[in-house]
Amino acid sequence: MMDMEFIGIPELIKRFVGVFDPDTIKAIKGGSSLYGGLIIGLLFGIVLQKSRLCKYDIVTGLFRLQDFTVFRIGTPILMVSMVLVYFLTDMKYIELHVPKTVIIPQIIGGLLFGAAIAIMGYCPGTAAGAIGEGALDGIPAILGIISGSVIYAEYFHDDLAETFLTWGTVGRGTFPDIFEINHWYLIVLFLLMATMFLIMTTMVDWMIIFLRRTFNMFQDLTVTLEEKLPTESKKGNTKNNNLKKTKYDKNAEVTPYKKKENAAKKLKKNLFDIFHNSD
Amino acid sequence: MQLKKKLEEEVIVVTKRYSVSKKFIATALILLVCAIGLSIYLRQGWPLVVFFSILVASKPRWWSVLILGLAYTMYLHSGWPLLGSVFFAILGRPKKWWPIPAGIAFGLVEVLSFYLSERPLGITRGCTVMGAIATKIIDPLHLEKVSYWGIYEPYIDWTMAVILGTTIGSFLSARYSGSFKIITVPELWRQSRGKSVFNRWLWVFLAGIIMGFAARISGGCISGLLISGAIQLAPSGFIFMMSVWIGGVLTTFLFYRSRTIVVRRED
Repeated sequence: MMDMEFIGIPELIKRFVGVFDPDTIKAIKGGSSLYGGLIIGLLFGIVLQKSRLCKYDIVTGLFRLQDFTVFRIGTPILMVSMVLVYFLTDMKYIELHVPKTVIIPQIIGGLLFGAAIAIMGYCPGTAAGAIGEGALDGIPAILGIISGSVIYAEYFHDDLAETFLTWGTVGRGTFPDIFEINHWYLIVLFLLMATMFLIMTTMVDWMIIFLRRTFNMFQDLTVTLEEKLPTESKKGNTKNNNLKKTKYDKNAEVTPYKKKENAAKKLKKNLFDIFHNSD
Repeated sequence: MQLKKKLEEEVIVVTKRYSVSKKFIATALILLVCAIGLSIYLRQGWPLVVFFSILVASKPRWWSVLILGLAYTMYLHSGWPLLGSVFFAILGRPKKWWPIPAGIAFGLVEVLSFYLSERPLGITRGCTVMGAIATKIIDPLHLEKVSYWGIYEPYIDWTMAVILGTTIGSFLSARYSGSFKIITVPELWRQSRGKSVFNRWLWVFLAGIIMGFAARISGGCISGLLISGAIQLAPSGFIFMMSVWIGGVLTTFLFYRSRTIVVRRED
């Protein structure tokens, strides 16, 4: 201990960085490493839970056109990762893995996929996240997805392979390949459009949140009005209270409390009727 | 008066949440001694790691998360788990992130998947492989007759690890911020479709079958085709985005009918 020399902050930082061995990253790199998948899955799950994407109430709100949280999260995802992926590709750190484009089956598949999301409110990734979050209806979702793909493999793949599944094949090309221009023009165009879209949806969503909060306030108000009344009326006339329990009499004398109660009931009914168009 | 009572109740709740009972300390100490003994006997570190993981799952506090990170750092001989646990202990505290930072974090995870695993983040492939594995377990001879299982071979691979990791990560995050709650029927479904658990689970299962089928036709799900297609400027991502949006809205208005518009409680 006596021989220990005084070190500066740069040396300390160098030693601290030395703790993070580059070989550990090399060991989990590649598409076949299970540990790499587990780490990415952990981060994915944390992000999904914190952005509330694995809640039925949020996702279905998008398709009910009354909650645009998904758009507000989705646009930054596309903007950030598009810029970073193309930048890192130009620097030759990563490679692109472009999915196949087949127009007709992807339109049909997308319509069916949207129908399924509208009913169950989870996509395959968020169903796994929902189980972790405590929403147990993610379990039949995962089981359903597995059995759906088994049904496709067993009965449909060989029959459909030569019919509509090949209509409109484009291949593994991207927009820059098709139009034969530099990809940064398209990225800048997309960024401009996405920024406009983000501002618009954020404004709409804030308005909707304001409306929802006001509505919740009125709900609370009616509930509290109804809750307070019986305790107050006990002090006054107990006979009236007994009458109410046995039989509701319209001709009985109308106390101020009853007036209040009726008003509260009417207010509640009206407020619910605005949104619940109950048959 | 009511305000005072409410405040007192809140104080009790807060103290309950942050205090550790004597019984818990005793059981934790006994289990710790057992884990240390087992790991010395086996000359391996995993019993201690399992003990600290159980500690985090039962008492999710900042100190237990840091201890878990330290345990993993010592077990794996790498500094990354400790660094990750420090970030998680700070950033995981709120129940939700504001949408734009959450979206940026999501995008970084997507790019990390490109860099680290050299493939885009996708989930449906894992579900398909699970189907192949189920077929192999039930009837191995039948597996060779189906040509589709030649593409998706029945071995545990990266995508299944992603599904497991997603569940664990979501559980950790929900437990740590205190929003973990077991529900069988979501609130908006209860408002628009009744509170029957059987009804909800049956509809979810049927929709899941449609979803698996559709994902196989189009060749991916939201994360595998829409996001990773759109960020590489592939036409498939944008086509899928538009068709999912149209199909979802149309089905919602047909399926929920007059109860399409319901009001959720805003946090």
